[in-house]
Amino acid sequence: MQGLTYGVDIVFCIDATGSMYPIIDRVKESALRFHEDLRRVMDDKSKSIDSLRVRAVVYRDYYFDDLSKAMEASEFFSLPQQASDFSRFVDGITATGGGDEPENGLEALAVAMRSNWAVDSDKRRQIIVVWTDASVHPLERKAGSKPEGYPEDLPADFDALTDMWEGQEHMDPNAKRLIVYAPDALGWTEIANHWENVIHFPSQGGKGLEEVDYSTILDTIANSI
Amino acid sequence: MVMRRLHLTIQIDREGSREDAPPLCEAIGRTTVLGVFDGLGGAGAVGYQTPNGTFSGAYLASRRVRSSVREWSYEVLRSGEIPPDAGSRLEQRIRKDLNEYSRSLRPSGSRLRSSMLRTLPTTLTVLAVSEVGRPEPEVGNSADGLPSKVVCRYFWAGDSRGYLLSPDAGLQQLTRDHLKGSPDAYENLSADSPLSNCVCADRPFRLSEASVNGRTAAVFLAATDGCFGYLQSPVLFEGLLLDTLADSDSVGEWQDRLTAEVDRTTGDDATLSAVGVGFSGFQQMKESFAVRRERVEDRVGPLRVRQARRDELRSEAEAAEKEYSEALRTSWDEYRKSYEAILPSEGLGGTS
Repeated sequence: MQGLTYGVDIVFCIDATGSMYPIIDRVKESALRFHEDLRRVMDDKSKSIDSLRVRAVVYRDYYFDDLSKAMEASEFFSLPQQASDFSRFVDGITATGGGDEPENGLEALAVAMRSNWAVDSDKRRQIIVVWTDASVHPLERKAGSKPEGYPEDLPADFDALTDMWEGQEHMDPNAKRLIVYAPDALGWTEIANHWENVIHFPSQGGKGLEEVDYSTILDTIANSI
Repeated sequence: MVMRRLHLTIQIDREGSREDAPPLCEAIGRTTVLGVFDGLGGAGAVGYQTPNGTFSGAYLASRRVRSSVREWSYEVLRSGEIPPDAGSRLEQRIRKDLNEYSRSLRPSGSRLRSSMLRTLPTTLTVLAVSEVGRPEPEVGNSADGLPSKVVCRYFWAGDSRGYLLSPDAGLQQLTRDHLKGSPDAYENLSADSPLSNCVCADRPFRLSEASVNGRTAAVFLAATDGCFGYLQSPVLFEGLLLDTLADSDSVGEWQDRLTAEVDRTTGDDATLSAVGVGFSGFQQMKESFAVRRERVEDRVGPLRVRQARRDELRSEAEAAEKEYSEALRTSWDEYRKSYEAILPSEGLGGTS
């Protein structure tokens, strides 16, 4: 008797504000190849993924952009069956708007954590990957007078967001992993220093990521499944 | 009757990882030292450049700690007995050796920051199994044939396990896994909990220690999670051990069958080291587990039946799903002829 099944869900949080313009193509390329690279590394270790799903949360700035542009989130795409649908969604991302930093990175993280994670595999991974070149708006900014269209059910402050990550209501404590390609800036540094199961590559959206560090990230994920 | 110690090791390396060090199985006087070491591939993914090439911290840690344990074994068993402070001496030696080793290594210059990463992380489970003397014979009888007293002192950090396999009680876990949330052995097969303690060079760690003793003939085992962590229930690991034993006619054959069976079921590196004590030979050991094997089969048999039923229903459900999907398509292809009969061509408007 044997047959444990492996399920991996990946959510990509992509900062698509104007300042990301010089690197957005590389970020999109990274998003499209990440799941393939992870599957390859897993295969190399004779670990085969039974269910692999990806979704993207594209974010900008509720305090600057139109509501329709501030946050765009796809559903999960099952791979490889819906690979072309996922590619289409990612290809359609353009770096625009957002004004000056900070941006709504924490709101995007909350949306990612609320994903409809798969529960039917014996062994699971819930992976969130963030690419950004900017700091974040505090979640409590303009509390009580949020811009029209700002989601009502988002955490009120950083502590509440931390509770979402560390608690068990949204994330499986053993399955969760967060990979952050972001500068040492408000929000991201606190997350890297205080949250569990986080890998931080301090950079402008992953700029300067060497192959050796990318391999380490993939190995850290693949070997712990 | 001459009692023999029966030794066995298995080592399965998965392509691209090889994080388990070769299992340790050293007979030193009346003691056999068993050891397994599973380098943590996730936490120890950072690479180091060595004169022999670049290796992960996980690979290097498991092998370095194995060397430390082997040296410790010969040192503490010089007197023939395991001294009371053996555990603390082992912990100190590993800490010192790993710290020196980490200072001598050249990291690959990673910019990554993560609380998940450790310097040279590995699990360790070491069993020192000693036969300490024969029982006094009854008046008029010989002591031959009575099992000698066996003492097992064992030490561990992480989730590699020590086991006792005896004809009466079957498989019993000796080591309590160091896991966050303390899931039991069945829960953790799916919970996949992270370690709460492991040997490493950059954080404090602890070696847990315990002992068992008795006069029963038994098999002691040390095993990494690749051996037991990919089966759907702990009882299946005992079933695997006893089935392969029953199908074998020598220790070598048992080793080969066990290796093949673990290789078939695991998704990871797997190492195991074992010693049978108190048996007169392989055949007697095999016979003494025959009744226990039947009891285990009584548990595993119904599980197999239900698993087969589940697999059958899954196949039927998949076939029904496909059939339904095809029927929807076929039905539409037929229906659309009339349904779209007066539909304007694409790009055209107007009325029919």
